[in-house]
Amino acid sequence: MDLNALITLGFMGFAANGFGGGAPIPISAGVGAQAYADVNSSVVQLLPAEPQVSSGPIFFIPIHKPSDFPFVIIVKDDGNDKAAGWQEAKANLTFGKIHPWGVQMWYCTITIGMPIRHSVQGYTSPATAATKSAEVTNKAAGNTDFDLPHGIFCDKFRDNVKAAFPAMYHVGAKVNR
Amino acid sequence: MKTTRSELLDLVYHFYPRGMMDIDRMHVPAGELVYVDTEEHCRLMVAAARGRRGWPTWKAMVRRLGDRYGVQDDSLHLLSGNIDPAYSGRVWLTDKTTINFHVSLLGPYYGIQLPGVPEEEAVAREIAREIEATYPGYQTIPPEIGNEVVPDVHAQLPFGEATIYTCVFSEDWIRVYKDIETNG
Repeated sequence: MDLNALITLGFMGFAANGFGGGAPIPISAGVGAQAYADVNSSVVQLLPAEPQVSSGPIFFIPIHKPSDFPFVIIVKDDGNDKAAGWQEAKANLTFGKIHPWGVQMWYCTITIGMPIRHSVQGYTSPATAATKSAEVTNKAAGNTDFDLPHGIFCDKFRDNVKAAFPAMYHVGAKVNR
Repeated sequence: MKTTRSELLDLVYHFYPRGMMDIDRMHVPAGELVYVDTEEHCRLMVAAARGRRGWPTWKAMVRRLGDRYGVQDDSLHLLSGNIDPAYSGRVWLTDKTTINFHVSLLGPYYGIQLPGVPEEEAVAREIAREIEATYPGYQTIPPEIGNEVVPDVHAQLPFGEATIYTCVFSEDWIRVYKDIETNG
């Protein structure tokens, strides 16, 4: 699978020569445009730009989209208490790393749950829960070291999602494998 | 009955394998033992299943507290098959301040996390009274024991970060203490 194919498939790329988790770095798409992705965004933008030549490994992660998080209602909101109801999504997220010699892909399982009605935030629909999950997982992926062995990467990634949720959205989210 | 450090470490090691990282099966060679295959983790799964069966009792207690305070039940995810070592809930004292409470599924222990505000004592006493009436014989764990790090278990938190409190109650025990305003 080449670079163009990856971008066509909706993958986002950032960070060349090491993955620092900082601002996204545009990479050449080789067709006079750049795939430019913000870890906070769930949208890939194609911007006209001069092709760049990068040295060393380029790491890619796919954009996690809201549709990757099919939230289902586990416990209905009974209308009692300050918070109630529980919804949850199980996802198998794809990650990839591009080497000069080929593409490495792997998956991390993650389960994200949150109340339907939170004490402070109020009602969270399954669609909103999915959007927030996509944003948080994209942010967390940007803070995870892609050089780690895949099993440890997934563990660290989930830890980062756990840490990112309360910082980004106080919705009482629970993150598990 | 006095709770000792040794008893609690035995309890932790009964439910969490030592020196083993919780890695997905798909990332290890086929046939190799992973965290979820261990006897310890199976015991934790059984404890969580027991928690699901006993959920109506917990829910009734939370409802009774809810008649007096603003309450949030943080244990609903147990019902979807998640594995937690305790029931957890919180009473809202103000818009941003909560008293979090936990009743362990691993042993006869409960914990109440105080945010350090003036109005907390009376509410905490009420929560403790309700827990002790609902779960007779359950007791608290002294902070000098509960905050002790259990360095060789990977219990939702990385090696070196889990404490007796987080193993017996909730990984959120640390997070809530760190910053009550971002306790989710």
